[in-house]
Amino acid sequence: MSAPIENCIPLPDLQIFRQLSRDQLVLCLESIPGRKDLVLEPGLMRLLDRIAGASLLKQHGVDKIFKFEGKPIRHGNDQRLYLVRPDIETVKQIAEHIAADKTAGKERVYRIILVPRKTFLCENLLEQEGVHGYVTLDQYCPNFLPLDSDLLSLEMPGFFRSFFLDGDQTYVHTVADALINLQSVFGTIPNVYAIGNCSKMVYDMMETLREDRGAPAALKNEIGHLVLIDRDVDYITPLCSQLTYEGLLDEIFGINSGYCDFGPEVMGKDQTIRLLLTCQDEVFDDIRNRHFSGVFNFLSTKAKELASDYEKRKNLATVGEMKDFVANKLKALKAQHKSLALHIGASEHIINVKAKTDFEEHLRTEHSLLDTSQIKENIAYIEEAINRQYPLMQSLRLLCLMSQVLNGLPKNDYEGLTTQFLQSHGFEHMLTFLNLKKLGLLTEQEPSKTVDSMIKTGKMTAAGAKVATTVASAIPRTTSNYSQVCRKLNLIPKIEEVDLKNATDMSYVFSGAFTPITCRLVEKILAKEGFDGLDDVMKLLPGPKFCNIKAKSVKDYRFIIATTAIITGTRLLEGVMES
Amino acid sequence: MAGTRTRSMEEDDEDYWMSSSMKNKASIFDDNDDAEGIMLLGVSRNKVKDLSKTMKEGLGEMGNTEEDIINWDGSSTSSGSSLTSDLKSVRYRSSPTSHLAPRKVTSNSASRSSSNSSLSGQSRVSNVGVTVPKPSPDSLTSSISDAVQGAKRVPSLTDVSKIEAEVQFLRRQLNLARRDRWEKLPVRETVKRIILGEPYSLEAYKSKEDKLSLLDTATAMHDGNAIMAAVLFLKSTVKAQIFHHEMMRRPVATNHYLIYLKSSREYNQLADILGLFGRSEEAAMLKYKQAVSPVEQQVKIRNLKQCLGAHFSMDPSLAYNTSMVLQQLSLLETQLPINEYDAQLEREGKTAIFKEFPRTRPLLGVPVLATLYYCCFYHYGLPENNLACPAALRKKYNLTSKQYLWVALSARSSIRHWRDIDELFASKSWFGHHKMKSPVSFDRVVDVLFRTGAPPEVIDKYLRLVDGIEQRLTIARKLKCHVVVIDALVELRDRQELLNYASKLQEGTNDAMHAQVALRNPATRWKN
Repeated sequence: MSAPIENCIPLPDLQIFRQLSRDQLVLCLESIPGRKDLVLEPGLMRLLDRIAGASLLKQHGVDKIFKFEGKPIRHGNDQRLYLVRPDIETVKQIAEHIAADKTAGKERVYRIILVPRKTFLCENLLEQEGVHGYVTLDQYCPNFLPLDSDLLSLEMPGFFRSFFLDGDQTYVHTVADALINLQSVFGTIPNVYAIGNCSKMVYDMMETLREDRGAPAALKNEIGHLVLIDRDVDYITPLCSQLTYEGLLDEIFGINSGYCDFGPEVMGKDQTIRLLLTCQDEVFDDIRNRHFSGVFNFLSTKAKELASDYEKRKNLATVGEMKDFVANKLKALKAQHKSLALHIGASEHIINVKAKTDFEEHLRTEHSLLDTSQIKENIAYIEEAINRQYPLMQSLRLLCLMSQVLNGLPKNDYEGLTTQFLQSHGFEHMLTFLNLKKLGLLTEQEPSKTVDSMIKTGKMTAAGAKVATTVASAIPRTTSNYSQVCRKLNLIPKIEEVDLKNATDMSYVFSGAFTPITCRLVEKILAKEGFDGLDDVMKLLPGPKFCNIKAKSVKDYRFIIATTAIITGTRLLEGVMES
Repeated sequence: MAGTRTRSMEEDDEDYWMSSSMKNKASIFDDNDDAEGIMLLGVSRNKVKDLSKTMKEGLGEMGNTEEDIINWDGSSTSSGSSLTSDLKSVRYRSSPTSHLAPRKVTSNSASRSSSNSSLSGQSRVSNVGVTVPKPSPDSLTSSISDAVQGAKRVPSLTDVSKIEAEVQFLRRQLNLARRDRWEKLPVRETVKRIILGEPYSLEAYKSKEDKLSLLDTATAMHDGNAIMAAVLFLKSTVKAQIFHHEMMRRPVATNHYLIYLKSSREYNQLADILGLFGRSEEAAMLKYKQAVSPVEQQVKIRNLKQCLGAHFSMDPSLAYNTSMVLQQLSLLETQLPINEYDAQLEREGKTAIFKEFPRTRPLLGVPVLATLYYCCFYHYGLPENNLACPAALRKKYNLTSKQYLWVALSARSSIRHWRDIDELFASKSWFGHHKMKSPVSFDRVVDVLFRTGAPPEVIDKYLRLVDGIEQRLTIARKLKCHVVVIDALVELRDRQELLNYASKLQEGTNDAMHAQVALRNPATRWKN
């Protein structure tokens, strides 16, 4: 999404979505009047943390909050709200809770609130389990959660797997609905571009939903363009190691709904802290987007400044000045000090972790893979990482990256490397490799004649052949696909163009080795306000492409990122593994 | 720092990070605490560590003002007030511009008046929604109470248009309700109702064509929930043959049916459908997943054997998977007796190695290389006819010489048997001349030795085998192998650098003496 800058008008205030989500939550809570218990799925806790707070829940009659763990909860109030994802397994357990209560002769009012959507399967299941009569079903669809002033997330980490791996289209509606809500606040977005299957579906669904809601209120458009891009258009970016401070924080500590948990390794004492990472934290805001090589210098300068600010208290002459210092400056200084200590501690831990794992060699391999140079040496390094049983995520990322840049590994390399991986990390990872293959993340180069020969030998029915053909042509990747995209979008900058300390080129996040495809695509699309001149690139990307341009706009842009979930290479691959 | 990417492997480690690390090159040595000279992206670990320590100490002096934040999982976390309480620092819109005026917002939870209407309490997305109260900029408590008041407020005159919209909505609903249940609605209308979460009924669709049209419309409208409803409706109302026939032509619908089968754990049927639709690898792997899920190793073995025969060996397209399953089966069968025998030895307490290094966990269900490591650690040098012999394992699982070397090296180094390590690399040339050879480069060998805590003299020995004097010098500096550094500098005839280096060595140590001897050696022809 991009909002045009008009005389540097600030970005639309996204916090309004939190307010809206909070109001809707209140309505859900009040749907059972009076005191009740809330049973909450662990995966929704951080989200709820950001939307509401414990005090809000209390105000609306929530007595106790239980973590949903599958075990029946015997005690508690006579009224109970479950707030869970519409997962069959979960709903089945809830049905068992209810049945257990019935057996024990315990009367209770139950209400299940499914996030984000009530599904046919869940309702069907309650019917089958024979508890449909005792429970009411509702849905709570939170809006986009503003993680920061320019970042919105639906916090649906399961979306990628369900849509792209299982082909589950249940949540296309959720994405479209959130975008419609966004437009009912900031005005209909006149120009829409969609790249990829899911994006096109979301666009269609928005149109369907609009039919029903009628013409939107005549608001001034605050957002001029909407660019929808599927994750599978660009797997390479999440597979590379990001080298900004925030990126490394996410890789090492994990950022969950904007919260980052620091343990003793950062605090230096037996204590944990949950830090909310936003631009409100000045120190963090200054370093979040810096290349890691520049972070430490910045922090140490900052520490020196802080020390000299503290010194000033010694020169305070009058009681009035002293009072002023304590009242106004001291608190701010302490806060800064604390923040600095945390971020320095975190940097220290990042270095410790990365030093253990041969990180620089890993980076060197990654970057030379992006160059598609020295494939033999890179294979040798990946073998070493696998054989020495480095953390499996590290080797797996390199394997996937290699497959992405080569459009699949040659049969021999594929079998050799996966065999060694299975021997190092367990044969059960055959399941992982199957999923990676289905997603196109890690594939074997196949001679294109496979489908034809199967038809000739009559092994497939006509219908089967049709399916196979559509699948094959849905992946129009030719052998030099990656290099072509790279060249056409100019994704690999010349070395001298990238200054890591004062970054002007977006490739700095990867030390200048690679420019994220999605970012470059958006840049090109906005420059032309359409796909003009991009046809040959679009041909190389998977899925349908679509654009609908209704209004020309100014040329300076500010960007808002909206996503189903924040992803890192690790989360991407973890999400693909079988439990 | 200009671009830091290397394009060539020949450039050494240090150059990789170019200028920033060049700066640090000198400082590695200066900093005596920097035992390993570990750096990340040109940032020295110890510098960060020092600063971190200073900051933490400073913070302690100042005393902490901490307050609890919301804590869902009961673990005690605390946080500084100004850092974490985002709720306080939320930036609401500061001026009451057009955005702040009460605004109609579509809301899922529906309006108070309609949610309990005759529509069986289904919440519905509508234009009539909650009025957003003007957020107050000061604090959480007041903004929430605003929200609460907002939710309970009686609609004012300004909301008339909203109410009108709602009336229209209800009127439409009423009309639909009058005719819906017993009358066949156009399929698109029904699918839309499913999408919007309104009540609907499918029972009026009696003809096969209607059922399929329902399914195809749901698919065209991309709503998984509607597709699911249509698929299961089709399945429950037509015979299996028709159902399968129609599904085969609809991959999207098939995916949803598979999701249903998976979520309701009907694995057998799931595998049948996958097989029927030509997705034999997925079917076989599903069976495999079930086979390996039990924890008990004996049961796993039994399951795998059965699974292998029924789903893998017959299918030539699964040759690779079959070979892997066979390896796994053989591994599980190998581990059992070794584990049993060793557990007994350990219990008896007569075998030295088990007394000195007690096993941390049983050798069950671990990967091939972990098994090899275990055997290299406890059973090195057994004859090849023994199950636990490392060389036999290597042959059995067709391991590469590199795989074997990495594992054997790290196991023998961990147990500190240096002679075994020498033998790993020993090779006799034609003339009976001993030469050290390795399938991986010696700098990597040194890396393993260093990480497994080998003593300096062992590291020195292998460091000297590293090809390329510059690389050798770099690693020696990093690992502080002073003698190797000195010898390399002599070889480079770099007297100035040697003087410089020697000046930093502690006087009286062997290293310092070695440097002095080298500097005084008249045979060396220095270049500077």
